[in-house]
Amino acid sequence: MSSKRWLDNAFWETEEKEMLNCILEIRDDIDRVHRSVMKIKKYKDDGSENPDFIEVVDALTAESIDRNTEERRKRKAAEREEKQQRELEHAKARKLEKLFEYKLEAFEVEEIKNSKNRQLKSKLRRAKNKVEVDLYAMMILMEELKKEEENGED
Amino acid sequence: MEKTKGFLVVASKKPNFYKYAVNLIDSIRDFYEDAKVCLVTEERFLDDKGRELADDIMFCDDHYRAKLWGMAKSPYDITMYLDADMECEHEDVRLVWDQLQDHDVVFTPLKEERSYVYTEWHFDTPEGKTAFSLCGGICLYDMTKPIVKEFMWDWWELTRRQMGGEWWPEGYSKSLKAWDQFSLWWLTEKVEKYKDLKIGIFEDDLRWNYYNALNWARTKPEGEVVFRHYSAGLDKGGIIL
Repeated sequence: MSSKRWLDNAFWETEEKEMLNCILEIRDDIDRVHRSVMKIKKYKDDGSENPDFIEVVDALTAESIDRNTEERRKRKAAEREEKQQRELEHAKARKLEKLFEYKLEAFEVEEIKNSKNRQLKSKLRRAKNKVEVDLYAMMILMEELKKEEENGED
Repeated sequence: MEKTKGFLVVASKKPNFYKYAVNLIDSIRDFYEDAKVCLVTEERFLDDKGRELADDIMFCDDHYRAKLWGMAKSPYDITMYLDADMECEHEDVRLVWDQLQDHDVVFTPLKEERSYVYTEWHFDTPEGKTAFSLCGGICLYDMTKPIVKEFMWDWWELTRRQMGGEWWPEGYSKSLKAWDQFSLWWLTEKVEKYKDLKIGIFEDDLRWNYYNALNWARTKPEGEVVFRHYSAGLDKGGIIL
């Protein structure tokens, strides 16, 4: 025998509670189950009350729909926050990877690569941004150039 | 006689791995100047910088998982293997040996709450669904124990056969063939002789293998990061670890 029921996860689409979002489950004569998501307005276009709307509210109760709506709102807000956080962290991670690559490029510069000044090279590796990388790279280069000059004078 | 201790870093296949490896060794020396380090690399990559930095150098071929070959050939009794695309950030690197305790091998775990950065984690087996639980990105192990020596060699051999199409068990997705995590899982879960292998997990494990791709706000270690792993976004010529 066929039957129908409204799933108990319906929620209000609008603050005015004039539209419902709900799921209708129909079981047919050979026991197949069909589910459809429905948006049901409180009033028809001619202004009269929509009997489907009344049927859902009677079946599920307004309090239960209120509860679902609030839970859904909180869940969606948490999901949005989680997504924003993920994007922010992802951007930070990408930035750090780019900085890491940038430092490795600096270490490829012959004078920096061959420098024995571990202290400065360590500072370059620990640099927090590109400006710091450039500064420490410059200091190492200047030191190496100075050494070259001194060797030349000898 | 006191056991020798050293780090092992492998750079094969792509020149970028060599660049990362040299940086990793240099970064270890920033905090641990007298650390022993073995660099396993292809002869074509080795330059003066690598020769100057590494205490021991071994040449490998260009196998995708030459790291496992290198791990099995470590010259140190206690070996700390590190993926090349990592960087040392903290002086506690000196204390890494304490993590071995009475274990044979120590890994970092693959956990559900971090699974959002894993490419393939859950998988089907003939006995039901399961998931990888050990990460091969870093590994501390004691090569003086015969079972460990054998295990490391078997891990390499099985991975080589798995990737070379010589071995694959019935009932497992072929997509898993690309992962040395699978051969690790197989050896630790399916091979009887390794049931006795004492496998440990790094304490506050994220300190020792912190994936840069992790959500820093949600997934962070209790202490400061010792090794950061730049595995996800680097230009590694299409290779993802």
